[in-house]
Amino acid sequence: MKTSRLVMVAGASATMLAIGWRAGTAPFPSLVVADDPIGGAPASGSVVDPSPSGPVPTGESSTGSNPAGPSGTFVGNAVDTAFGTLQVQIVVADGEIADVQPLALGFTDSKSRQINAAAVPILEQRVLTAQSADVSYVSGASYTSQGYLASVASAIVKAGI
Amino acid sequence: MATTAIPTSLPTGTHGVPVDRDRAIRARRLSLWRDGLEAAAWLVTVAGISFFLASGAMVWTVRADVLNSLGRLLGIIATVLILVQVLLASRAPWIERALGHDKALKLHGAMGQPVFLILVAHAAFLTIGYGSPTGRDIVAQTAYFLGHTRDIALSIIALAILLVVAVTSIAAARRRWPYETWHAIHLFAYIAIAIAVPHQFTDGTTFKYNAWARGFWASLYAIAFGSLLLWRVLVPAVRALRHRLVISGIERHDDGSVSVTMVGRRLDGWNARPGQFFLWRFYTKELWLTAHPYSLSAVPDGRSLRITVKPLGDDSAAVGRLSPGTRVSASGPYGRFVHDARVRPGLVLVGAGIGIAPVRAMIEGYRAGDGQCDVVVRGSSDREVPLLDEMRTLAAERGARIHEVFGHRGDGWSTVDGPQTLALLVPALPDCDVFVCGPEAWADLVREDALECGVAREAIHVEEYDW
Repeated sequence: MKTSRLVMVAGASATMLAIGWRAGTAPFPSLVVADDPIGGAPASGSVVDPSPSGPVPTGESSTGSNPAGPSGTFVGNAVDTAFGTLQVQIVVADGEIADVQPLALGFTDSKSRQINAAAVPILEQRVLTAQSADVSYVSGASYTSQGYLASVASAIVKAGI
Repeated sequence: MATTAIPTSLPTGTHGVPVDRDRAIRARRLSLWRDGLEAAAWLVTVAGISFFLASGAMVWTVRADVLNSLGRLLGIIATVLILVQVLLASRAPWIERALGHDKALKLHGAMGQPVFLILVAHAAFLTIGYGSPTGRDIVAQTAYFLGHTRDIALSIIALAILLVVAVTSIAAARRRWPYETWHAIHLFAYIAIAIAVPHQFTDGTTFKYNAWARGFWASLYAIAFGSLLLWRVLVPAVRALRHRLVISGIERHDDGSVSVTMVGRRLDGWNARPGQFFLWRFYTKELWLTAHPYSLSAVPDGRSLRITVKPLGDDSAAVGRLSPGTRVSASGPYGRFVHDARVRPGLVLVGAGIGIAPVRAMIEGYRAGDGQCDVVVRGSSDREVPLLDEMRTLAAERGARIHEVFGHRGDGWSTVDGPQTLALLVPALPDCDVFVCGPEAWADLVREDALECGVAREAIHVEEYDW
């Protein structure tokens, strides 16, 4: 190919890749997540901050030198859903769930990530608040909720709390 | 055999200048077209990658995600390459004219192995990536895909089919399988491509949510398979029905070669130029299964087409046993071995073996005054060169010079004691187009010699004759 044409093709390629990259890494728009009516959710129709940083559990304190239960990290089962495999691990301190860390959140396309980015912090907060996997699903993210909570439940069983 | 009718597409200027200007314009257009096709292939690949990036599928956080992302990327690249392969095999005129039939097929074949390896990597990465969160290894995850999915299961079957095609291609190349057997298996690749389509739209993340990406992807398939269907099925079928070719005469020459003349209806509407070839299908028990490439050995006169075949292989021997009245169909014309491909004032035609046939047609299509024409005929003796008498007569009529290089093989393209370089025969060689037709190894030697003598790369036109 002629050098001038090669340069044009290279330029066009670089432009396309840059546009694609930008579109793919652009921050997700805020997502309105309505809570499921079942189970009496905290705040319905809340606008969720899409930043992936999960809320930090507040009740990290234990009762000093007298541990009330098991501590450690427990990996939950991997759960298959129609939108991929979900798996979490829980960090348990003195018998209390201190943190829920996602290991796999199913499909990684932008739509799925958008849904997960909105739903996962809510699910995590609910689990930490209830200290249980028996919390309501986030609507619009039913598969994520199902897989995530099932994995949390199995981790809780493993932790024996 | 007609020597009067010459297609109007030939250069008609008699004083060099207008013809050369036309030639320069044609050369520029061809270069633009070739580069345009190459650029299109690159840009389509890059567009696929860009859509992939835009879907946000490139994730680096978890090992499984990295594997999945790379796997998807490889799948997109492999698919674009496969569709380029389909286009190269589609015989679309806009490909054939730019690349030439032999180069298009060569490229099609050369892409096979890398494309297959990319596809294997695509499947392996995604299977490992999908399996790792659940602790399934690649075998267990494959079994899971086969049992729990429809579209991914189909694509696994597609890959298995491609594996069979790849293995038989290697086996065919090594053991010289019959072409028909290999080709029949090869056609299964199209089935594999077809059944692998759904998973790209339903499981791949690039095209699932983006309508533009979906449209882009679907149009790639439409162009590649549309061309294939049009130029390999519909056009040949229409040609067969319209022209109804039938063998009208068989002429056996003293050197052992056979000329087959075919007549048909409305042949003047089929614009074949001297030097081009068709893929012929002769409807006899031995030959109907395969289409054979044979060059026209005479300028088509609008009523008949003539080929000359030397009985070398099984099938060309069977051509020698053809009889008048046999029905024939053909697709074509193909090939860049034509006067229109010239980019220099002078013309040198170099032929050996049955590669003489298109050279003979090119001499017939040459007009005195359209640059000097030199014909180099290579053979072991004058008794084994096909159509030699016809060429001598035509060359005398048209003012072309024939150089007969007969004798035992030397180190180069020439004979042991013959002229060792084309420049000795044609002093003005750098100002000439050199057309070479003959066995591949020999043609390569002629090409090397011409390059060393200062002939420009774009002025060397080689038609390979090994298939």
